[in-house]
Amino acid sequence: MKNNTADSVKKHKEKRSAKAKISSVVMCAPITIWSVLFILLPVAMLLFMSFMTKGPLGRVLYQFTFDNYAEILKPVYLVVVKQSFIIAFWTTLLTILLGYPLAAFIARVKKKTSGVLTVLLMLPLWVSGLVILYSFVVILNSSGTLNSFLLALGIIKEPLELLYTNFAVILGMVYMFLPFAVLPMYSSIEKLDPGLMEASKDLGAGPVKTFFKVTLPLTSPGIFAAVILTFIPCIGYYMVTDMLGGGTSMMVGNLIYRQYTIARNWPFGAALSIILAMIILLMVFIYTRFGGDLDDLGA
Amino acid sequence: MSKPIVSLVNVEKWYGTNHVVKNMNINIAEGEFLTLLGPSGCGKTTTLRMISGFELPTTGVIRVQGESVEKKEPYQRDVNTVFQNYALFPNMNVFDNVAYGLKVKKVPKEEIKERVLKILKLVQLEGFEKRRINQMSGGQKQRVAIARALVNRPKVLLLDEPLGALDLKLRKQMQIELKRLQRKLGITFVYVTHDQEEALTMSDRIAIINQGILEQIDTAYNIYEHPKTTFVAGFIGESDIFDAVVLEDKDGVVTVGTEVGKARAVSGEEKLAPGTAVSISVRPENMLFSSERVEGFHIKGVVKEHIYVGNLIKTIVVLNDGTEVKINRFSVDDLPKEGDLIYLYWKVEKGIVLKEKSLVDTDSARDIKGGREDEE
Repeated sequence: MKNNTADSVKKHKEKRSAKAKISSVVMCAPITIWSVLFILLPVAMLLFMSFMTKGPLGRVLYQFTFDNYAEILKPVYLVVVKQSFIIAFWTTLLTILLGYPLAAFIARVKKKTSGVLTVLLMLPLWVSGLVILYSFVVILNSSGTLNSFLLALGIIKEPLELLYTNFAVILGMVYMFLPFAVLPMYSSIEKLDPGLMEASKDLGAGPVKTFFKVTLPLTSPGIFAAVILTFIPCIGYYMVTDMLGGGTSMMVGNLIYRQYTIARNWPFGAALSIILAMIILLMVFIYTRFGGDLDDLGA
Repeated sequence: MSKPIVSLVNVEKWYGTNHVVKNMNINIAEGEFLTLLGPSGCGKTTTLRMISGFELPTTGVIRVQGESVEKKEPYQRDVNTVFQNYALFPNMNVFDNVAYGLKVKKVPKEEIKERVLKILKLVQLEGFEKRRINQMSGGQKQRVAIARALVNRPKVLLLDEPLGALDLKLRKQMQIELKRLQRKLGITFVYVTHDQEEALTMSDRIAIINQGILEQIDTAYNIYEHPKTTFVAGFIGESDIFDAVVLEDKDGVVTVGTEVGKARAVSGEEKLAPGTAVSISVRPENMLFSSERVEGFHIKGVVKEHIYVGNLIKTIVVLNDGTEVKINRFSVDDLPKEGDLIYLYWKVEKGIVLKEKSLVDTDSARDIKGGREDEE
């Protein structure tokens, strides 16, 4: 009798766990299918493509080769990679330097005000990037708003060459990525216990020492996250370089774009994409090794 | 009192229209353990923060060692604070936390090491130097916080409810340890708490603060035995308080009439005119009872219930106007039975005449919420 009960309980449990298994499979199916179809498969295709041979007239010959990767090491392309890193570096640096005080300010005002400020900060994201970049063209070109203004004031005699320079590219990039950089920094500054700053002051440190010894180290995860969120998309983002850089500067993103459109060299474009993805993965890996939290990146 | 190490002279603090600290005058003697005691939001933390320099008084002067500290930033004052939530630096280990103040002041490395290790030994944290803060228990964190402040050899140590986050047993243990530490070092402690038992256990003197006003400042004994106001009598320990009118003040004994009958108490230095409104306060442990009337007293009631709280038994007596009075006894042997009619009385010297309800002017005090939010 006892055994019977135990058996029936066991059976019941098995039945239930089988049910749970089925339902969890059913629930996971859509996201699994989605991931395979739209993430795994395209990446696999990209990887496959990157080892193919370029045929005449933009066709793809299905012959295995390493040539596309070897091609990247040519000086002409390495210049592009170097240029990308330089622009991404300056963009990131400026974004952090501008974004940190802004984040600190938003974190310190009253809750109500900080809500309003956050919405204002996110506002540019609701406007199409094209519109924003065209506005920059209007502002920066030689007969544009900024130059006319400075000329009228007599500060300059000749219009400044602003558009189609690295300056314009970096300006546009900073504008695009500032909101993304401010948010993680804001969240880490806001989490900081103000008592810690008071404790530091109490123990004899002035505001500057307190900042470098307490505030900065404790908010560094937010800064790391901001660096990742700026640097990575910056390397691949081709719209800003295209519109504000003219032909003068090219980044990896532009190069890939051109392989798929103008040059019609899909295998090379695929190889470039794979390399770019590897660089990004490496950076995220370094970020997590330094104690970064993937959640802060919006993963 | 010898020359005070800290003195507050006519200190006032307003937050906008909130009058948080009112005309505060306190002299703190060197080596003293002074506790600022009061309910949440009474302004005690604000008072402490004005001494540490995190708040400035709206008017009035604060002196440390006879020198006004008005223009001194917190890091320039010879005082250190132990914060409510410890405020230890999570990015540093125990040693670096404690060494922080010395490093900032550029004390030579060898001396830092020596002083930090010595102070860690004093707070019984030897061998914990390399520990990270998040690996420490609440009690250990508290010790680190105390060590971090003490290592700077402040003239005055300010403690803002430092034991508030600890459990009861640990808190009691830390109370005694802190008191010993203070005696040993001879440093002046100014201690903020809302826990009256904590205040009684540790303090040389207690300052009772109510709605921004200093109600009474005295030794624990005097505060308990001779409260000046109804507020103090009610806040420190338990009291049975009767509103009364003076009938007669003769030969050191005041006879009063209350809503529930006549009673007696010991008169103060000042003779009270018949008709004066006062309050009579009696500690529940001093409340006596009898089955018959006792001379000079005419307060009777019915025993409602006994409440057993471990070390004592509280007996609730309902008087004929419906108010409840407590009697505390340490043994079950001498208790009246539930439902019995008893006459209450006390030794005349155990009845305290209180001339004031509180020093707070009730009209202007009504809208004061006081204090900082985190005092809640």
